[in-house]
Amino acid sequence: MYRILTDSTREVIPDQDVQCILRIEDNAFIPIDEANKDYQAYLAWLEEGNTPEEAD
Amino acid sequence: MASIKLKGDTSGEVIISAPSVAGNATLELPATSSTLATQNSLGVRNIIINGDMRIAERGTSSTGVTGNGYYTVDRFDVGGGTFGTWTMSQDTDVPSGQGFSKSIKWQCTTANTSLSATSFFDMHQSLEGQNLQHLKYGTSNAELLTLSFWVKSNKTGTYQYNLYSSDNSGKAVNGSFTINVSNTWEKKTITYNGDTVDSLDNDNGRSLDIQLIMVAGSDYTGGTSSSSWTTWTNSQRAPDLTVNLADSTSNYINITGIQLEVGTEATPFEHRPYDMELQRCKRYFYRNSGTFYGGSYGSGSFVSSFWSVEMRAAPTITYTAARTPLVGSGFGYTTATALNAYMSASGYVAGLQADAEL
Repeated sequence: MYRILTDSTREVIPDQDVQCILRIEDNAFIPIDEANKDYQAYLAWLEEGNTPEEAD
Repeated sequence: MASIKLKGDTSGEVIISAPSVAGNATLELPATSSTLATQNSLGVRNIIINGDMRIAERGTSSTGVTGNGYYTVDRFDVGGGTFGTWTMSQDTDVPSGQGFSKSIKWQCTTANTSLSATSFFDMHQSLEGQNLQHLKYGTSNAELLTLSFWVKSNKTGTYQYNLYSSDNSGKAVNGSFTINVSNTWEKKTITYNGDTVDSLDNDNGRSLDIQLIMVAGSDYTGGTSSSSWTTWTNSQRAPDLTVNLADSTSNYINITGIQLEVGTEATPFEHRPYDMELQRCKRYFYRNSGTFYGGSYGSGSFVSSFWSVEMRAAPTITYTAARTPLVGSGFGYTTATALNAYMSASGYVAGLQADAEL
């Protein structure tokens, strides 16, 4: 299971909400990078029809 | 001084000369028509990273291994599942006289004597395509590769090797090697044909795997091994494997000195400096038990530090402790070049692991 994390403060990068994927089972922060194998696994999980939790 | 002079067809010359006091040294040339690893022959000719198993950032022993993933020794991944239970360790049992100090050891702790169809257990290393362009795959000049390694096990018999390319929808060449004598270090040498049809992607993605297979269920044994590059199917993953290394808790296997090089000759293992090999490993995995402190930034604080070497991709981050909560996207600002974490107030994060493995 995954949760989408979003930093919408725009304090670091103006005009951009920076996102990251939290893998809940081990509290791992997965970057939005298609070369990252964990992000690839997340995309495959989405393709199976699953839906991540939204940010708190 | 005795010498032989070879003149170039057009110009220049090469002189091979003996020292004035020559002794009785012999320079032995290959028995077959081949080259002496002309590419990278003087350094970094071993394409494998951590082939002598010295680097173990994740720890020196991992018990209860039942599935795929990276455990102790860097850069060597386990594939499969339903293969019993194993302890993986960085071991000091090595072949004598070869200059090695470490090997990787697999010890079966719970046997699986009745494999399921999908049982599978391999050790593999995945390689980046941009480090393999000198192989000239996809051309008529595609290079042959030679894999050499030392292996020791109580379990004699026929094992499977594969050279797998995940590019081009999956292709492989494969075959078998034999452990002839129990409890004895043996050196094995395998030569792979080059792929003259399909090229390897020139990027930071996974392009080639070397795979050594120790356990396979019936889903993976029905095909036929091929010395020429063929489209990959599950039944071709281990057709030559005749042993089940998981069938007894007495079973173990040690491996070290893995070298993959251009050409048909297995040259002596390339012992590289520790710091060089460590940096190469850190491109894929980084562990730091220390603490990273943050500085005030905006309404919170920012922890930031460059990695010691640029990582292969933006890494997945885990950590053991933080003084103040991560906010927003947490490590979402982390890149392949730097750790960045956004926190609610000035604080720290500790016990970081960054994973950019293939």
